Amino acid sequence: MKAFPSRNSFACSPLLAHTRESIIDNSTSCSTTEIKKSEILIVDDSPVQRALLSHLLKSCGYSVVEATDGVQALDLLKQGKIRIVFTDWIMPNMSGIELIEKIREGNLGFYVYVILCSCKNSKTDVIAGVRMGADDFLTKPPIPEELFARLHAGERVIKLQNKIAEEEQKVARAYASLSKAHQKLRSDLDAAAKLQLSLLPHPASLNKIHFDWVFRPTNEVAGDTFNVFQLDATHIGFYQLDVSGHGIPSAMLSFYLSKILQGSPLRDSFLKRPMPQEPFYRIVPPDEVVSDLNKRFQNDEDMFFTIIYGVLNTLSGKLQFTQAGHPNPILCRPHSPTRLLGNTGFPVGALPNIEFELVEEQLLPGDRVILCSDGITECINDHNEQFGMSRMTECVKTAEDQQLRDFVGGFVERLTGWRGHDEFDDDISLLVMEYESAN
Amino acid sequence: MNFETRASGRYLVVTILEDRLGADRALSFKESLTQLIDNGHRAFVVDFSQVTFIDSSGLGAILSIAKRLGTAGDFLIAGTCETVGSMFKLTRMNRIFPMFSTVEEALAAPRVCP
Repeated sequence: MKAFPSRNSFACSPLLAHTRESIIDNSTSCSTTEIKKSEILIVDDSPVQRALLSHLLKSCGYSVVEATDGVQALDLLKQGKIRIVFTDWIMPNMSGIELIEKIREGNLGFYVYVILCSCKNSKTDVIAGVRMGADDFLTKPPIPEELFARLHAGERVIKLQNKIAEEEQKVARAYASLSKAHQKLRSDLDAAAKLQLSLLPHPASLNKIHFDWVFRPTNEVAGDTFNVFQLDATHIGFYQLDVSGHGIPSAMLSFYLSKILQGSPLRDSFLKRPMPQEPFYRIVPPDEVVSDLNKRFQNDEDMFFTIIYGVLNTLSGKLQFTQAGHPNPILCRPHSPTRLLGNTGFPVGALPNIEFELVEEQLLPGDRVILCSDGITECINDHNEQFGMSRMTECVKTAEDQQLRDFVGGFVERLTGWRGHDEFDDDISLLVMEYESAN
Repeated sequence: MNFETRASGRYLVVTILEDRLGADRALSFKESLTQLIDNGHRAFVVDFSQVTFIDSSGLGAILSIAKRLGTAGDFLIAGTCETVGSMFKLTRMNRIFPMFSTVEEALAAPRVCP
């Protein structure tokens, strides 16, 4: 902090004799005692003019750097400390106008406030100077009141510029940290999505069951999931479920469920219970499994899920399943009308103490059982029409002669065609099981 | 979530002014009705006549509101279109909530004692 100059110092300067009065009268114009004064560059080839201006500025506490031409001035500006420049118009090497042009090229990386000083004071000169990029104009020799008024205007502009630059930096920093966080979330989600996909079965044949599927989560991870697995040598367990809502909370519950609902060689698992006599276990019937799930998931007030869980005896073709709030399974039998199986049911986790029904059906060779999530039946087209169960069954029937792989592929095409594009509002999952090839 | 309410006898008629009651609206629907319950309302007729779509989140919100209301309250559903009605049927919510084709029918129905 520079000490405010004593008034005696003005008296020492012969150059300022004519301005002394006005400075004393106008002492407020340079009385900023708390704020750090700007460093100012004076560019003039005349030592006398430089001294005059320099003295005036120094006397008000500004630190001053001097340059004799534009080239020197530019070198000083490149050091990055100076924001305000008083420059003469006509100078050797590089004129004031050329200096302004260089400054305005923007290579400095910060804003420089330029006051063009000249003896020229015609209106056209001022206009020409401002057009070339000068911020202000000062006639030589400067009248102190005018000089400080213009200087303060410049300081205000620089202050604003600095504030904007600071805000820009803040925004840039915030953006950088946001995109870092976003990237982290993104890679976590991608990992979760891969994990979820890895839980799905490979399209395959288990005993006499061939199956294939479609799975299209809306977000990276889905509330939908399904599986087909062996319970023992003759029984296949299968399910398709849809946790209410979308995204991560739904996916977490769906992960958990897919870990409970899987085949196990153990005699004591969620789906198999030990028995004292041969074969020392029993396969838990679907209605019991779903009731059990319903008891377990009463605490999650707003979370519930719909499910079809079923068991198929691959030797006899006897199918047992429980439908809990999930769209009905479709039975597609060659040369017969397509049928919806089941009779509705409460979702799981919605209400305590409710009964779940066991549905039985005798499958015949060649039968296909199709499970779909509501993302398919409720898929809307441009006209806000739902795909619906009847379109779904018709779709299944039309393609009954196709191989499973082609059937599934064709279905995706059909649904995408209906939708008009391949972005869906809800998770899409379709599981098709075929009981023993008809041939 | 846009809706309007009017009192009719012992009921508060809540008309949903949205065409979809899905995941994006479910939470605010639940919060709005919970607020009404907390303000002392115990008997509702919810007018679905402008709703053309409901999904599991919407049903979840309704269930959660009904649980909040408890057995001492009335929660009647009116004016569901075929699509919304079939969603209630699929999930058997039609067995939990008394359903009427219009608000007037709901208001005129004799009260089922809990």
